[in-house]
Amino acid sequence: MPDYTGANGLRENFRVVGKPNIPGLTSYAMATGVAKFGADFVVPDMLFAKMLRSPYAHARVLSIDASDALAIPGVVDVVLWDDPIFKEIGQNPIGGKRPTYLMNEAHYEGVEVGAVVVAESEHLCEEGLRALKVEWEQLPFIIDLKQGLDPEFPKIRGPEWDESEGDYMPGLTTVDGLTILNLHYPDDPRKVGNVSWTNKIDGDMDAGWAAADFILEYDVNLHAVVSLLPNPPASVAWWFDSMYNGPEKNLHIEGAVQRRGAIATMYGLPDENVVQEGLFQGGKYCDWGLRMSQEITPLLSRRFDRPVRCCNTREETFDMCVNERLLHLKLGVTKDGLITAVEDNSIADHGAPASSEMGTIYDRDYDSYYTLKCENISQKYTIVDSNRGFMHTCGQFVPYNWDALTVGLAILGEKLGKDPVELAKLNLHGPDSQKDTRPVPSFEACLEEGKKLMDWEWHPAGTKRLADGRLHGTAFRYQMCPRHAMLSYFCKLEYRDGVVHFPTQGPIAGWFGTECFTMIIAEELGLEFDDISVDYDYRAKHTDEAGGSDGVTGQGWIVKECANLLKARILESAAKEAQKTTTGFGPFVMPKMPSPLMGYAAEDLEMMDGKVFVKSDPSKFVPFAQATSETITADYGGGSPKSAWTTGFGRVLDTMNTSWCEVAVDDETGEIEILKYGIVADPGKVIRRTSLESQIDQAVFFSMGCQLLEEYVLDPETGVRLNANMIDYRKPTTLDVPIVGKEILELRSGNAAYGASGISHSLANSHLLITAIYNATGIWIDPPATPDRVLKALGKC
Amino acid sequence: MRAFNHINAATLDGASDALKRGGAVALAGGGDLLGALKDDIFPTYPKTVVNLKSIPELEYITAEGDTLKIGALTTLADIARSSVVTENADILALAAGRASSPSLRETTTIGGNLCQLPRCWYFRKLNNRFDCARKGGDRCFAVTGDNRYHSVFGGAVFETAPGVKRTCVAVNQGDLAPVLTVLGAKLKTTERVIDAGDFFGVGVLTATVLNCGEILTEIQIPINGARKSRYKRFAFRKSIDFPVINLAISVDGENNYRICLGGVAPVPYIAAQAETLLAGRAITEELAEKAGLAAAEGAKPYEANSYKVQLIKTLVKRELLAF
Amino acid sequence: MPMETTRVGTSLKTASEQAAATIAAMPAYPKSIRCPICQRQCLTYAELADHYAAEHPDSVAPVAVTLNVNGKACALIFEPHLTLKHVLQFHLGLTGAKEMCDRGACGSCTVIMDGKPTLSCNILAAECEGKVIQTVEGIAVIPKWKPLIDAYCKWDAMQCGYCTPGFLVAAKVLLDRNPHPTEQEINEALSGNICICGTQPRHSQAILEAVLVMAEGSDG
Repeated sequence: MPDYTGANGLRENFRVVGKPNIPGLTSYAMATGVAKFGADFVVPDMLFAKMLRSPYAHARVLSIDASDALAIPGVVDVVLWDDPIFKEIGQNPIGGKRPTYLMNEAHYEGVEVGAVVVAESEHLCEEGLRALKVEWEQLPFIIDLKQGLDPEFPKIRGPEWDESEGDYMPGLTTVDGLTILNLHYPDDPRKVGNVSWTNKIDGDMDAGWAAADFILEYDVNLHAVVSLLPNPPASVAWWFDSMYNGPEKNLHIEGAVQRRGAIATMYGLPDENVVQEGLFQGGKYCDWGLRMSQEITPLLSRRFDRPVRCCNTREETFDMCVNERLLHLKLGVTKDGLITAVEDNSIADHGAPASSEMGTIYDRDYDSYYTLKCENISQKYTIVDSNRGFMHTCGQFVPYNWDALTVGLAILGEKLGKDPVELAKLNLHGPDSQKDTRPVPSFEACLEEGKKLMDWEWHPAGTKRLADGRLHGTAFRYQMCPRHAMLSYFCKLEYRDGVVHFPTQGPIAGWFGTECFTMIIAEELGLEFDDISVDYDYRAKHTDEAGGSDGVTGQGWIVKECANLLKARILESAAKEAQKTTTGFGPFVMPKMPSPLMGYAAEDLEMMDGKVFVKSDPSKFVPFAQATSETITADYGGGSPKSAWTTGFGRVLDTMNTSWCEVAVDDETGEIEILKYGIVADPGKVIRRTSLESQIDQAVFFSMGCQLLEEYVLDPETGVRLNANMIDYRKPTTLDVPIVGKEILELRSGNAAYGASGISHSLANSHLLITAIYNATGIWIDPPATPDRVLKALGKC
Repeated sequence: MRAFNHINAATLDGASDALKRGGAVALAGGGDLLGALKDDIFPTYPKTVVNLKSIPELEYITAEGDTLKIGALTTLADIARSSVVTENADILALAAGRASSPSLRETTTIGGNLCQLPRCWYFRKLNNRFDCARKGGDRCFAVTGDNRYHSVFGGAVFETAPGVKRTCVAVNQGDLAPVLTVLGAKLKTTERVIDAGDFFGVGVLTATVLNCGEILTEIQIPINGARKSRYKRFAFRKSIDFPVINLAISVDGENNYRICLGGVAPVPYIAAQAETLLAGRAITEELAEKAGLAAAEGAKPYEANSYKVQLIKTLVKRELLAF
Repeated sequence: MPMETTRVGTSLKTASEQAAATIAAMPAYPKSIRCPICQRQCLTYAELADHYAAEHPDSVAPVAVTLNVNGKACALIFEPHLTLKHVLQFHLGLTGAKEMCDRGACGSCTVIMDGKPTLSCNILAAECEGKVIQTVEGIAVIPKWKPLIDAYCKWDAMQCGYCTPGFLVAAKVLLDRNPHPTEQEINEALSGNICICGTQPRHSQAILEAVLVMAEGSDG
């Protein structure tokens, strides 16, 4: 199944790829604090900007009297929402559907609304904000999804935000200057009140229910968690003159997310007029949303003719959430445990206007049900608008509704008295389609290794106590090691003065993609990692595409092809130059030492260990650095081979992984301890081992956080966020995270370079620990399983 | 953070005078106050911050005769590391060494830890979003709101203005408060000496009985070789968190127990019924269980915080059995 | 407006050179004294104080403070409410102490003050006079700590890299106090540092290796 049609896909011997402990190229800069992130930039003569934030969950600014604020010495100006300045910018293409201009309606507590204060320092901005006299009109709000389901509840969004007012035309539409991607189906039910729906039915549900011996019903609830960025989103921007583009046509901005191209588009500039030298983006967890603070500084800088810095506080960064989901599942099952029908009725939080649909509608296609032999699958999603915040996907937290099946197999196991591992084996379809009954080799391998790693022994729920009296539980899950292939990639390499240059604009967001590509280039050219000169330059066309390791492997294919193109051209040039007997030109012609490669054609040559040599007689060689005096370039763009993940979303299976855990539950205090956590993953081929290990650590960190600690708490009365700080919102510490046992397999059945796939966030889960707690106690506890909720569920309070 | 005047106090008298002038707040290690200033939670932003760290000789640990004396500016880290404290009041070292996080313990002081304002998320919400009773406002938002971390022994009734009584259900979550209470510590201030058990109080923008301008200067702990004690901290994370509940127990040579719980009531809660039950008796499994029940006697939890009652029962029982 | 080009050191050598250059660029005294409210230039601190009294009588005047940072005494003028973190970045150009939580709950802004790990977001710069302050940049230029930085980079004890300097500073203080820590002691010492990318388990691995290398180095 893997597509090895490119160059060296079947390569057996690896010298660089897979080598452990090659430091990240920018790691030294990051570790020593010299790496500058958006918030770190300080430029002379800088002004500061801060936006008014809504104290209400839903409110409209009727008027703002800024006179007191303007009277404060050092407050430069207060820019209101109706200022024409906000019409000067377009939508940020990677900002998704969020508007880039300031509105006078606030759709959740803490959102930017109404006014920007510009002052000589940040605290003067704060003084200015406190001095604004704002007339608010409080509006009805929804923070309880069940309340939002009431068709009588007042509509919380204006029609300008209602994608469903018109026809459900899948694809891009433009509403009020905003491009909206509509993912609804044309025949989905029309929106009523604050609720919309989308339905998808595959197969024959009646036949599915008829084939079942019994029906299993259960609920899987995902609470809202916050997609917290490490670095406060911030940018500083200024305009400058240039002799080519004229005055004030050149923008320097630091701290805007990913590529300067996005900001260029927003401000109607050609890419080359925008300078963004800073490489470091901070953490990105599939949450490519931008904050207004990162987008509007050029606007303000243009007005005030000085550099402007705008930075979110930590509280203000608690504004992108992973949405709450309430799933009700119905499985038709035979007495042997074979699933014959799946019905998923979900209620999902749509959040504030312009939230992402990755956690709502998009889940129809992006889920686990298609890994089953069962083809009768009904998905009916109810989507409720709310004022709970801006909902944006974060793959590291909740990989969509994948764990609906993890939970289903565990509950089924308890009912039938069977190990869920066996039920997974029974129900998983074969490599090629849902009708394929053959085993998936990668899955089988991950299962066997996992059992060994864990000394796996399943027991029925509530039947095992440890010597210290605590309850013991286990859980297991599987997923595909994903790889995206939607994107088109680009790579350019240059051999110049004997050195291979790899120009890239980065950026650096934590997945060490450039390092992986550099390893691939070195591998293909027979060089060492350090031999490749990686030239970080914001003007370079190559960029590290998003998508963690799965994006890296997809792009890695392009890099591999490009490296081979370069190699062929270097050999050709080397062969040509080897035939020359003289050097210099005109009167300066001098005889030249005959090249050891003289008389050989390009196809007779090979390169390895820093040499270009004759294949039939390796003792004849020239150093790689002297292969040719010419400058050789190669560029290559396009997509990588189709990946099973993208084309099948589970209907085709190649690279898989399994996760396992054991927990202890103290049923008198509600404390959960992770006794053992094991992961066996087959990413196809390891490119950079520490990257993979690190991604596993990250997935476990997010998973344990959302299952045991993290919770986005809103005041029920006002809809105000109560724990929007890092004291009350609990991210795990070094003393909380478990040590994860890791086995990484290389079955080479992925569809990128060398049969690689990726890991990315496929190991993140929303219910593995919860399922183990269920196995320990026999009682279902919705996440987060904090001691208070555990004790409540156990009937201890 | 908005601007303020900053005074480095040279003497206690100078600091007291500055604080009495109004619009001023005292700053020690900063663990509590700076966050409150950044969040701008005060109804009126302070004009002046009075730095106490500049006052000499308030940072010391000594054992003099039968008293362990600790200067109010001594950091939690120094207390945790001190062999003098470990030898004479081991649970104080233990509790100090578990508070907040390693780096914060290096700057936060014992005085600041004892005087810290409540962690109630309504009280702490930025820009004084909830003008609650504890800030002189009209109501306690936690009573009808999300009170999962609040009192299980009812609210404190106090005067927000002369003749105006209001309730607050925020809890005292200090790490050291229960410890000093069961150790029978005395807290010396610029005006008097107060028993630890009487030190904590509920008032507008205060969690102690200190008067305006009164400054805590020294913690005095009686040394008692026959005393044994235990400390238990229950938090959701193993670091950084404030305790959800904490518990200190001490017992003297005659089996007289002192039991004090933090995080369950507006001030550290002395489990008097459990103390009475245990007086003079040796611990058995059954007695420990009964003591746990007695400690939780009279609790009136909300639906969201009833888990704390179960925790009181379990933790008291387990800590007694661990002696 | 011209700006110093952002170059990235891809080796410890270049990174520590950059750190050294940053330290060298810290002003020993304010190059120009500007009023933080109206940007008026003053020649002396006394002139600024007079200017405040005359023009901004209701505003809090800046204070003159000398900070000892990375072995260099720097005379500074800043408003008294500013945190050490703020002054390090905005007045001294040091970006190693990062602001993440701004409430003492994440460790990203950790510096060393009088030998103790200190959260620079949680202390007023005006109160740091007379203290010996070391930031991650100051550690980066000391050859002794090369093995620690190397190990961090070798084991990917970072992803996006934002919180990493805070971890490294906490690790350095730990090794100052305890050159041969156990894994548990390492995790205890770093338990006030939050890495949102989830590298928590990787730090002990890196530090344990650094301990080995440093022990070998001191033997030889």
